[in-house]
Amino acid sequence: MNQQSLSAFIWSVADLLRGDYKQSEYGRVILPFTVLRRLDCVLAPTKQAVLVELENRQKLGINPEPFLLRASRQTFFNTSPLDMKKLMGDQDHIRENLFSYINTFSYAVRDIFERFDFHAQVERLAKCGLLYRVTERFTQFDLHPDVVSNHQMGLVFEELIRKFAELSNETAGEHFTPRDVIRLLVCLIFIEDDDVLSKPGVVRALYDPTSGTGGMLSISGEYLAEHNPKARLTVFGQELNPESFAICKADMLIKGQDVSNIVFGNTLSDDGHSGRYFDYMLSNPPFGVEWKKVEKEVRKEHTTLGFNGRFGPGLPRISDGSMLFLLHLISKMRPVAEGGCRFGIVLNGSPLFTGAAGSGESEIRRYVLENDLLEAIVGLPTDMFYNTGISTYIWIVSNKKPEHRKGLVQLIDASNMWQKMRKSLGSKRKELSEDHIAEITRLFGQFVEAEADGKPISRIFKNTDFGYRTITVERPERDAKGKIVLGQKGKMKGKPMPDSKLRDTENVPLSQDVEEYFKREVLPHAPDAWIDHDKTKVGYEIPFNRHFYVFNPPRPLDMIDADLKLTTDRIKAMIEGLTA
Amino acid sequence: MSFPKYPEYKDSGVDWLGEVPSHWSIARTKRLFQIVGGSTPKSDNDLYWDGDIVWITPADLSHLRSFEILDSARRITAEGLASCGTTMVPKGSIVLSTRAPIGSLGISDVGLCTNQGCKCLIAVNIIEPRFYAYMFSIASVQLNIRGKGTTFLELSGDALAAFELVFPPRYEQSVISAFLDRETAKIDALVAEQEKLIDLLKEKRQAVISHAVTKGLDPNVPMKDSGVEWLGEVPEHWAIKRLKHLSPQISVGIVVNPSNYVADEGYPFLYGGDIAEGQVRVDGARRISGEDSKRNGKTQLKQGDIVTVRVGAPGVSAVIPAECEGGNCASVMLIRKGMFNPEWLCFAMNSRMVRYQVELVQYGAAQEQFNISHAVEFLVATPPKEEQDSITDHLLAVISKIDDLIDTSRHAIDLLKERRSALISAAVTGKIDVRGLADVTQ
Repeated sequence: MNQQSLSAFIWSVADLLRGDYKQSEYGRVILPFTVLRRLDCVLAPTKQAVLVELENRQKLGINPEPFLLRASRQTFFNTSPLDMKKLMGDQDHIRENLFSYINTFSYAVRDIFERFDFHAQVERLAKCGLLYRVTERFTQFDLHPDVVSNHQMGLVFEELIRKFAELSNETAGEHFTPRDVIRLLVCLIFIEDDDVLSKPGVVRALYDPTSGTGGMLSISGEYLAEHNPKARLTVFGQELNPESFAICKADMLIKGQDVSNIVFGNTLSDDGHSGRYFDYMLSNPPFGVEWKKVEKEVRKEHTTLGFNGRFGPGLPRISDGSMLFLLHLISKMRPVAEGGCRFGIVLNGSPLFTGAAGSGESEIRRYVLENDLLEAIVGLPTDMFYNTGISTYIWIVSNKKPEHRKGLVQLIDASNMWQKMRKSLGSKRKELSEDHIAEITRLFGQFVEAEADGKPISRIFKNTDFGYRTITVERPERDAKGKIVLGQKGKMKGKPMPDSKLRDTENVPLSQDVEEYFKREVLPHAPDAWIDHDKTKVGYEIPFNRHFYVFNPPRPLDMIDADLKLTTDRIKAMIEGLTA
Repeated sequence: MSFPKYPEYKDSGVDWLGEVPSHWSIARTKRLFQIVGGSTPKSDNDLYWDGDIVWITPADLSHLRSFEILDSARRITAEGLASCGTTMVPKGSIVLSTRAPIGSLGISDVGLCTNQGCKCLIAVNIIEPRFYAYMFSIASVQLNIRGKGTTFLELSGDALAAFELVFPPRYEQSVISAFLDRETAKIDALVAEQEKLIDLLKEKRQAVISHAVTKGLDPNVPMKDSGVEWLGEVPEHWAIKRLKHLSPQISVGIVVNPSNYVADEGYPFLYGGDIAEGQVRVDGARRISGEDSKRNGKTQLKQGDIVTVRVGAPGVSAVIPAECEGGNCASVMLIRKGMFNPEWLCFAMNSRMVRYQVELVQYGAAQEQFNISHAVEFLVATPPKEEQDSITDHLLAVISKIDDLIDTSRHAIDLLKERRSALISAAVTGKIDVRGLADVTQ
C-alpha cells in the first residue's frame, strides 16, 4: 500500500466518529492514535528485552532509563507489559488499561500525549461508546517498520496532518503554511548551497521559531533528501499552541528525529533555543497580531540587553509583532566566521513601509539594510494563505551575501505567478505550480533584472536607495507687524524663533544632497525657511509595488479618433443590416 | 481632429507629466493647497447624526456624476462636528478619497467636512479648482501606487503633500477647464447614446426570441387561442406542453454538500455560476472525478441536455456541449434530452414565455430561486420538430448579429472613455494648446 492510500485508510476511522465528532475534530482522535499505533509497532520487536532489562535493573536498584533506551534500540521506550493487541483482550477495562499503557512511555512520548490532551479524547470516546471500536481499528493497521519505513510513515503522518488542517481551515493559518509556499522558501534558501550540501557528511541545522505542526521542517527535510541525499539536516523548532506542538513533535518522533529540539512555549518571551545559532531558518510568523502578552519581557530585553539581546535595533508598534520575529531570526544567524546563515521569512506588507523615520519599524529596516543583510524580497500573489487573502512577501535574509550581491537588494514581483486552485481552501484560492517555483528560484539564483509581458518582474537596487532623511523645515515666528521674533536667551539668543504652526518636514532621498534639495524644493516657496539639523532623522522604507509600476502614457488622440470612426461606421452599417 | 501644440516645451522631471509648456511650473500639492483630514463622530450617539452638516465619505465621491458636491448620504450635527477631529472646509475645495478606493474626487459646492477616508484641499495659491479636479481625475493610478496598506491601500497626508502637479498661469487653468467642460460633456452624451443603443439591442434580442418561440416564423400561418391568458395566440398546429411531458427526466443536480465532490482534476462539475444565457463557461468550472460523477448517475451530464440556473439568476439556461459529457452538476435544474431540438428548447427557456413562469413561482429574499416541482409544470408552446429546427437556425443567425453589434457598441464606449481621459490628460499637462478653443474672459 502506498502512503496515500495508507493515510486514506487510516483517515477512514473518521466514519466511526461521524455524528459524535465535528469534522474539524477528527484529527484530535486520529493523529494521537496513529502515533500510538506507530510507536506500539516500532517497540514490538524489543518489547520483551525491555521488560527483562527493567526487571533486572529494578532488582539492582539502579536508574533503569539508559539501559531501557539501549534495550529498546529507539530514542524512547515503554515499560508496560501491555501493548495494543493485549488491550483488545479486556474490553471492559479498555479505558483504564489505555491510560496505564500511555503512562509507561518514556517522558518525551508522554509529553506528546499530554499536549494532545489525549486523556480527554479517551474519556470522550469512552462516553460515546466508541473507545473499543476505535482502538480496535488502529490495532488492525500494520505500521511495523519492516512494512512502513520511517520515511514513508513521515509522509503518511504529514498527509493526515494536512487533512486535519484542511478540515479545520478556519484557523488553519495559525498552524499550517501551504505546501507551495514552503517549497518556494526552501528552494530560495538552499539554492546557493547545493555544492556544500552535496558533500558527504555535511550536517546543517535548520530552525523554525513558529514551527506549528512542523510543515516547514519536514518539507525542507524532504527537499534535501531529494536533492542531496548525502546531506544531513538537524531540525529545531518552537511552538506555543499545545496541539500543534504535539503534532510537530510526534512527526519528528515518527521520522526518527531528536524530539528534544522541538520546544514548547512562546518564542518571543521565552526563547527555547537561547544561545544557539543556525545555518538555515524558515518562518511564517503571525501577521498583524499584537504582542501585548509578551510586552513586558520584550521591552525588558530591549532596554537592558540592547544589541546583546535580540531586540536591539528597535521595537515595532504593539499592534503587530511580526518584525520581532525578524529580529529574533537575525539574532539566531550562525556567525559568518562559522559559515554564516540564510533565512526566509513570510511577512505581510506592513514591515515594508510602516513607521516614519526614527520609528521602531524604520529602525529595524535600517538595521537590516545598513548591515547588508537583505538579499531579496519576493512579492507573492494574493489569496495564497488559508486564513487571509492579503498580499504577502518573502524576505530572504543572509549574513553571507556573495560578492556580487554585496550592497544590493533584489526585488522579485511574483504576484502574477499563480494558477487557480480547482477547490479553494479557506482564503487560499491560488497556488504556485512547480514551474512558478522554478522560475522565481531561477530569477533569484541568477540575480538578474527581468521583464515579463513588458513589465519588470525582477529589479536590483542599492541598499541606500531605500533610505531617506526626514528634515524639519522651520520658519520664523512674526509679530503683529510682521517682524521676525528673536530669541531672548540661551542657545536661541538673537536667532529667529521658529513658529511651530509653520513647521514642516521633507523626506530627502539618501542619494540626494540635503542643502541642494532644500534650495530647490523649499526656498523658492519659503525664502525665510531654515533646516533644524538637530531634528533630522534617517528612515528606510521599501515601496515594493511602486518599483514595479510601469507608466503607460495615453494613446495619441488622433489614433483613438481613427479607431472611434471605424467603430461607429461599423455600428451604422450593422444597424442597417439588422432591420432586414 | 488634431490640436495645436504650445510653441516651446521643457522636461517636467516627473515621469507621468512628461514635457510641459516651458512657461509652466511644477509644484508639490502642499505648495498649492492646505491639506485637511477628516474624522467620524461616534456612531452610537444619536445627537451627532442626521443634522445638516454635509459629511463626505469615499462612497459619496464614487457616486458623483459631476465634480460638484452638494450633499452626502449621511449628515452630522454641530455636536457631531465638535466631537471629532473633522474640519469644515469652504466651497471650492477639492475633496479627494484617500482610502478604499484612492482617487475619487469632487469640488465642494457647500461648506462641508469628511470622514477619515478623504482629504480636502483648500487652495492657498491662485488656482482654478476645476482645473485641479481634472488633473487629479487622471492621476488616480499615480495616487494609488503611492498608497500603502495591507488590507486596503491608504494615501498618507505626507504622500499627498509631496505629490507633484503642474502649475500653469491662472488664466490658462480657466481656459483649459472651460475647454474640458465643453468637450467632456460631448463625450459623456455620446456614451449615454451608446448605452441606450445597447439597451435597445438587448430588448430587441429578447423580443426576437420570444416572438419566434411563441408565434413561429411564418406570419401567415393560421393561429389559435392557446388557452393561456398571458401566452395569447399560437400557431394552430402547435401544442401547449408541460415541461415534464417534453423531457423524459427533469431533476436537480447534486444538492447535498456538492463541494465534497470538487476535485483538482476530472470532468466539468457545473454550478449555477458557470451557466450563462445559451452558454456554459466550461473553462472556469470546477471538476469532479469520473468515479464520483458516475456514482451520481442521475445527474451525470450528456451532450444535448439543458441546465437551468435555480438560485441567483433563476431561469438562465444553456445546452450541455460535448466537452461537458460525463461531467455532473450541482443544484441546477437538469432537463434531459428528448424528442426535441435542444437549442430550440433552450431558446424557449430563455424567452419571456418561460421566464415569466419562473418569475411567478420564484421565492427567496436574499437569493431568488424556484423549485423543480414548479418547473416541471411550466408550459411550452411546442412546434413540430422540423419547425423547431428552422426556428433555431433563424434565431442563431439573428442573435449572433445582435450580439456582435452589442460587443461593437461596448467597444465604442471603451474608446470614448479612453478618448475622454486622453483628452483631459493632454490638456492639463499642456500637450495640446487649447487657448484659442475656449471662450473665457480674461
